[in-house]
Amino acid sequence: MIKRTILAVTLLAGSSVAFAANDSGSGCGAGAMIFKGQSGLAPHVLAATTNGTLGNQTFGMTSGTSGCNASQPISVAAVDFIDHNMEKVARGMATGSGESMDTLANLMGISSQDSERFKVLTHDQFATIFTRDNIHSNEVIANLNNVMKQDVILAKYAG
Amino acid sequence: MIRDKLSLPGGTRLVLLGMLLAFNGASPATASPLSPVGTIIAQVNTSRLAQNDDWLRLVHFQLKGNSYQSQTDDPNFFNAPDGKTSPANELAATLRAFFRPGDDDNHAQCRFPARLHWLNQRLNLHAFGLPAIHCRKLVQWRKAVSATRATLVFPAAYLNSPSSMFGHTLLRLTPADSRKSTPLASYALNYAANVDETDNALVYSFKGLVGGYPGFFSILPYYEKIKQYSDLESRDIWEYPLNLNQQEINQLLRHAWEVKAIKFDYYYFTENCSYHVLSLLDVARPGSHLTDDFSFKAIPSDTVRAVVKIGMAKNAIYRASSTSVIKQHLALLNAHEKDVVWQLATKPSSAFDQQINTLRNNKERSRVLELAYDYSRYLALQHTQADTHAAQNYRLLIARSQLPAGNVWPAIRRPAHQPEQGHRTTRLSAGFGRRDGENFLSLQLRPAYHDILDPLNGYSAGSQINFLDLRARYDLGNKKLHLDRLTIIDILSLSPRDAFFKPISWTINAGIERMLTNRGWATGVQLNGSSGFSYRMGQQHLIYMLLKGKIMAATAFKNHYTLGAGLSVGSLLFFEHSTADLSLTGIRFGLGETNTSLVARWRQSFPIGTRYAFRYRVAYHHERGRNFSEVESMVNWYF
Repeated sequence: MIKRTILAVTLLAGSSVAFAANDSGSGCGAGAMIFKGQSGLAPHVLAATTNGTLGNQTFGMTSGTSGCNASQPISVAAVDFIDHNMEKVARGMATGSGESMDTLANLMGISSQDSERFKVLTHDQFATIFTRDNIHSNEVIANLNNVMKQDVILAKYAG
Repeated sequence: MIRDKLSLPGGTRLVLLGMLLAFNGASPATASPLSPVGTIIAQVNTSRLAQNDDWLRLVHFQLKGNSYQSQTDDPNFFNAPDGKTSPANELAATLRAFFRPGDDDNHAQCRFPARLHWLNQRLNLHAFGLPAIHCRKLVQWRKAVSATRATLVFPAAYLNSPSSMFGHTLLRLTPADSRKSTPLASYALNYAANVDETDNALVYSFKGLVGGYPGFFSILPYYEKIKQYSDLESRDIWEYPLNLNQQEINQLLRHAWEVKAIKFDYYYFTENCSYHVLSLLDVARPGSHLTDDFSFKAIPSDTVRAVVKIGMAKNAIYRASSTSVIKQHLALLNAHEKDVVWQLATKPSSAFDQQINTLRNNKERSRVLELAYDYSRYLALQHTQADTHAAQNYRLLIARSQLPAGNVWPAIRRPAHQPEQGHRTTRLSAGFGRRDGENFLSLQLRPAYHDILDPLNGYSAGSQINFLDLRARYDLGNKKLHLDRLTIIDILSLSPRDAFFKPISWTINAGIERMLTNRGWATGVQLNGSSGFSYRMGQQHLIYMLLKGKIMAATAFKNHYTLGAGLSVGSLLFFEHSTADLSLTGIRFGLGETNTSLVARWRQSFPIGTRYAFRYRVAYHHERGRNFSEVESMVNWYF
C-alpha cells in the first residue's frame, strides 16, 4: 500500500505545482531530508513573528492531513506526516513512544491493539528504517514498509 | 452590545421603517409578486426576518448609531449593492440569488451555504421550488474537512512578537475519519492578517492598529501550528474542547466556507484573530452572543474566558512547549546527568560511549540521550547552533533505540491555573499617597493587560504589558487635578537564564508623564528601554540586571530634552500571598539638561480573590539635585 502511495505521491508532486506554494514547507508529498530544517526554517521563523501569516494563505487542504486532495487514500496523509515531521518521527521510533508515533500509527490505520507492536517494532528496527543521518523521507517510508512486511502481524498494514 | 441596542424599541422602529421603505421601493422592479421568490420576500418582509440576530451575525452586521454596517470589507460577501448597510436588502437579494438558475460553483447557493441552511430552516425554500445546484468544490471541501469535534486553541502570550503579545486563538477541527482523529493529524482553522513583509516594525504596528492589513481565514495541519508555537516560539498551548454538536459544527464549517476568501480589515485590538473565532462560534451556536462584549478590545485570554463563561468549554488540555518540556525534564536530572546532556548536545567530538557509560542504568541513559537530542534540536531551531550536528543527533537516536522501548518520563506537570482563571485584563485603581511633600488622590485606568505585580494565577511570572495606562492625580494641597501619566506601551520581559537557556531580559516603555526638571515639575514625553539578564534564585525569587537608556522631552528642560543611560538592578519576590519588587535604578543624563538620578523603590501587591488586589509603593528619589520620597497605596479592580 505504501509503495502505491509513493507512486501516487510522486505523480501528484508533478501535477500539483500550483499547490506547492504554501507555507508549510515542501508542499504536497515532495519529501524532506532529516535534520535539514535550517533552510526550510527561515520562512517559519518569519511567519512566527506574525502569527504565521506571511505569504500565501491557504484554505484548501493543500498539504498535511488531506494529502494532495480530498479523495486520496489515507496513507497519503501518513506519508505527508512523515515528510513534515521527520525529526519527531525519528525520535518517536528511537524511543518507541510519543505523540508522533500515536499519530503515525493512527494515520496508517493500525488498530489500537497493534499500535504497541508497531512502536516496539520500529524502535527495534530504527537503524534499518533510518539508515543514515541525511536520509530522505521517501527512503524512510520505503524502509518502514519493508520492515512491516516482514512482521507477521503488521504486514497487513504494509503495501 | 448589539443585543442591548436592539432591545431599545424607539431606535429599532426607526431603522425598520427606513428599511421597509427602501425595500418596498426596490422589490417590485426585480421580483414579480407571483413568483416564488416574490412570495417568500413578502413573507420575509412581514416576519422581519432580516432583523433576526442570527441573520445579522451571518452577515457580520453591527449597529453603528441607528444603522447597520457589516464588518466585512469585501463586495463579494454581498448580494445586494447596498448589502453592507442593509440587512433587509441583503436578505432579499440573497433569496433572489438562491432562486436564480445556473449550475456552477459560483452560484449563490454554493458561495453562501450557511445562509442557505439558515434560511431554508426558517422558510422551507424547497417548498417554493428552490433550484438544485451542484456545488462540486464545496462538496469536495466538506468531504476533506469533515469535522466531528472543535477545540479552541490558545497559544499563550508571546512578548517577543508584537502581533502575539497578548496570545492568539484558533480553532482545531477533528476530522470524522478516525485515522485522522489524533490532535496532530487534525487541522487548524486560523484567522490572521496578511501583512506586508516589507513593512518595518513601526509601520507594522500602526497599520495593525488602524486596520491597514487584510485579514483572512486559513486552514493548516495542526502539526504546523505546533511547530510554530511550541517548537519555535516556546509558547505553551491550552486546548479547550468545545461542546459543539454535529449540527453546530456543520454550520460553523458552512460559514467558514462563506468567509474563506472574504477580506475583513484586520484590527489588532478589536477585529483580530480572537474576535473572528468568536464570530464563527456565534454563527455555529445561535444565541451565544460571544462577540458582543468585545467591541472595544478583544484580548485572547478574555475571549477564552467568555467561551468558558457561556459553558461552551470547560477544562483545557495543557500542551507544554518544547522548551517547557526540556526544562521540566532537566529538573529531574542530577548535576552529572545534566553535564552529560550538555556535552552530548553541544560537543559532538566528545567521547560518546565514555560519556554514556558514566550513567548508572538504562533509564538514566535513555533520559540523557533523549534530552541531549531535544536540546540539540532546540539549539538548531533557535539558530544558536550551526546545523552541523546531524551526525551527532543521529548517533543519539541510534543509541537510544538500542535501549528498551517506552516512555521514561513522568507526566508533564501543568500550571495550577488555566489562563481564563486569571484576573481580567482591564484594571481600575484608586489610591492615596504623598509625593515630594504633597498629598494626593489617584485614579488609574489600564485597558490591558497584566503587570508583574498583578495576581499571577493564569499568567506567566516575570512578564508585563501595560497598554494605554492612564493615571490622573488630584493634589490635595493646591487642589489641582492633572494627568500624571499616560503610558502608551510598557513591556517587561524577565526570562531567567540558566546553564541551558540564555534568553535576554528587556523592557520598553513610552508615554507622557509628569517629570522633574531643574525648573520644577513639568509634563513631557519619555521613552526608555533596557536590556540585560535575569536569574532565578530558588522557586520564589528572580533577580535582574538591566542596562537602561532614557530620553525625556519637555519645554521646561534646558534644550527641551535630557538623555541618559544607566543601570537598573532588582529582585522579584513571589511570596505565598503576595508579589513584591525591589529595584535600584541609577541614570546619568549627559545630554540636554544634565543630571544624575537615583531611585530606590519597593512595591508589593496582595491579590484579594481574582477581581481585586491591594498594593503599595515606597520610593526614594534623588533627582535634579533634590531628594524626595513617594508613598502610595491603592486598590485595584480587574474587570
